[in-house]
Amino acid sequence: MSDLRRDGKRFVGCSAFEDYELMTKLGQGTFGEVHKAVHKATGSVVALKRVLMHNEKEGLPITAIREIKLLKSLRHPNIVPLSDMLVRHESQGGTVTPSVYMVFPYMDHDLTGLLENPKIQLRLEHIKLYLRQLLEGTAYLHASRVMHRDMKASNLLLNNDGRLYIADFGLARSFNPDDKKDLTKCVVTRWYRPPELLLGERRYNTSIDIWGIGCIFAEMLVGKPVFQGSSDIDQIERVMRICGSPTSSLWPAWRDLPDCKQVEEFSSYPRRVREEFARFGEDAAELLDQLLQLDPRRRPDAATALKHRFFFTAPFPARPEDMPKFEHSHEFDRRLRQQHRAQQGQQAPAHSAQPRQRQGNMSQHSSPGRRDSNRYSRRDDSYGYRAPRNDAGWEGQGSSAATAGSGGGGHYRGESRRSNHNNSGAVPSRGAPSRNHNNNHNSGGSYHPYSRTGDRANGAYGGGGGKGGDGWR
Amino acid sequence: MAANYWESSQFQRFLLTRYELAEIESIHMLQHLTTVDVTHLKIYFSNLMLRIGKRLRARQETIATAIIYFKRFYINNSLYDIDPYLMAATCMYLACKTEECPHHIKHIWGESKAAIAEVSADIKFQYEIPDIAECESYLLEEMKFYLVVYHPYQVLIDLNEHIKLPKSSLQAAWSIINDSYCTNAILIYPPHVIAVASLFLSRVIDQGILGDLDAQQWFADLNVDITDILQVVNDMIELYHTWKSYADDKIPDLVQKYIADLAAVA
Repeated sequence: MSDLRRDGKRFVGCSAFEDYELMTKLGQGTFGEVHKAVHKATGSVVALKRVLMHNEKEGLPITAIREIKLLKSLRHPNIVPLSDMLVRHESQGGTVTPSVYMVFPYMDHDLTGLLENPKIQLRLEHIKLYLRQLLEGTAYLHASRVMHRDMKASNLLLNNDGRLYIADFGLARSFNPDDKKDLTKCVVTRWYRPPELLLGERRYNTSIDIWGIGCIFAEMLVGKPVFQGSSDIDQIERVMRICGSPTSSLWPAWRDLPDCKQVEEFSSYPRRVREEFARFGEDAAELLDQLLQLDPRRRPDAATALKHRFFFTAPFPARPEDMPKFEHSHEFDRRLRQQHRAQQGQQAPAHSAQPRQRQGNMSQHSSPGRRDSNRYSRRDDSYGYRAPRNDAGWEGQGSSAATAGSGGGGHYRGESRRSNHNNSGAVPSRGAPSRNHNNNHNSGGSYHPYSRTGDRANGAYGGGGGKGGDGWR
Repeated sequence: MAANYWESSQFQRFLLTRYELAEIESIHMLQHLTTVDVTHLKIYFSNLMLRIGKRLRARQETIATAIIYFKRFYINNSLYDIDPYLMAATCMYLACKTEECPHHIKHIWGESKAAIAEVSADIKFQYEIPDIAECESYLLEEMKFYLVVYHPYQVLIDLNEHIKLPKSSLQAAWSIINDSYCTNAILIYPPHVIAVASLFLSRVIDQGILGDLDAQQWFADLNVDITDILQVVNDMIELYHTWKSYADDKIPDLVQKYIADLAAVA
């Protein structure tokens, strides 16, 4: 009934899938993939993220609805803009299968990829610029009553204009500050999970994002994730080693948490955040000390953190236009390199002893036009045979649980990370560029790559959290 | 919700003028139906979704969201394009998800089927569960994935903080808002206009007292265009007038005939 479609201008519907031309794959998880693509009419480069249908018969999962809803209602320079939506209907054998894609502008890097790129060394003024943008975006989010709930380096996208974007709202939810509702504790990737969540808190608030920001800040300073726990227990201990054991003076309410007994068996550690990070300057150490407070109530909110002296003392935050242009680096690139290495690794073990070299190429600003991907391609030998890095957190196709609790991966990784939320016992297989990564499941844990489908029975209601109290009214 | 109404797609993209809507209706519907029929259809499908919603024990706002989705879809499409009974079930399914009170698709399917059978045993609802999922993608596409909608209910509650209506008047205003979803008002006016109009109307009906405030002065101070309010009041009175000739059991045949007419033209 085309004669009824009168007001075409106002109601254009979605773009057609054919408007875009697919290019390379940017990410791959067990449950989906992200492609780089070009909008044919305008030539703009985008990332197409396929919304995963766990079960075609049930339509769009509520987690995807949440993500779309939130992204559509948020607009901020530091929040990734959802520029378009695509629906493609494929009919096969009488049934029509819809695929839904989210369209984002293409970004050159994610923070994990950038930090892992040995050619790039962030300087303090760059870190200040990125951290400020991260806090500004977060302040907006929290003022808009949204919790991100999955702050981590691989969910931060960066472009070559020095702009940082918070991405991946798959676990985010809006909240009412007056609500005293239990939320699901199955949120936040383990390495970035705050102590109150590790101890079973279910009435957390926006301060869980602030802890994540603290972890990301420290990661930018050090160059790798700072708390790389291999299990939830190990995670607690690693946090305590730096942030100290909880005491009634550091964290008055900690004994009220459900799992506080777990901590008692650890030896008591003194708090030494400032000492640990003193080498990055007094201001940095002090700000970090505030962000990484064990007691969520003592962490500053994002707006307060933005007023910290750190941002107003030399070296001042870089201006975005002064940021060096890096070659594109995504977390997925590393996975490709590792895959490549896994295939050829046995032929060149001699190189593996080479120390990781981090040569800053900051001085040699490549011209803006020069984004030659070949410079940093998987064929590049200088990466191919690097030593397996213990800090790399290798994730085999979203199957092993390096960033477990919620699987690995970031914005460009599809949805793999939500696969193993309830997995507390899994031991991640880090470092090793395992050739048989597909068989690399942790036998000890409850993890199974398709455990998501196990969730489905109730997952369709509660969203990512399975039986989480979340999502119910 | 995160953003506010004035920034929303509801205001910036989906708000139509009275004239635009009248034109859409006159071109697409009034060739086959009388104006009274058109109003009856609106009442019918709003009531149907209310029935489904009640069976699901959904909150009023969730039902209202579903009704807006339904209206949005059929602005650009005819009842012939997609069976309105299927669309009603699908809108409920999607609205339950966006309003964070999700139900299993099977449950929605079953309750929709039961609600439709309640209206009339003659209606054929031959769809299966995957049809709702497929239909959902058409709905999402048509709405361009703009899912957040605003309703007058919260405004009413907020206004009542100031004027402290007696409970019966508040209930009356609430019901008038419910009924306003049988008109096009929510497609034309921001939610607060409808909320104020409902208050106004409930006061006129009720002859209640607006707290300690002088009613006329209170409405005058609201900084809401009084002509808009009177328009909505007018729409409501017209609706109630037409409602007198409305009977649930006549409409299924009307829908059938209308769809058949559309099919003949196609």
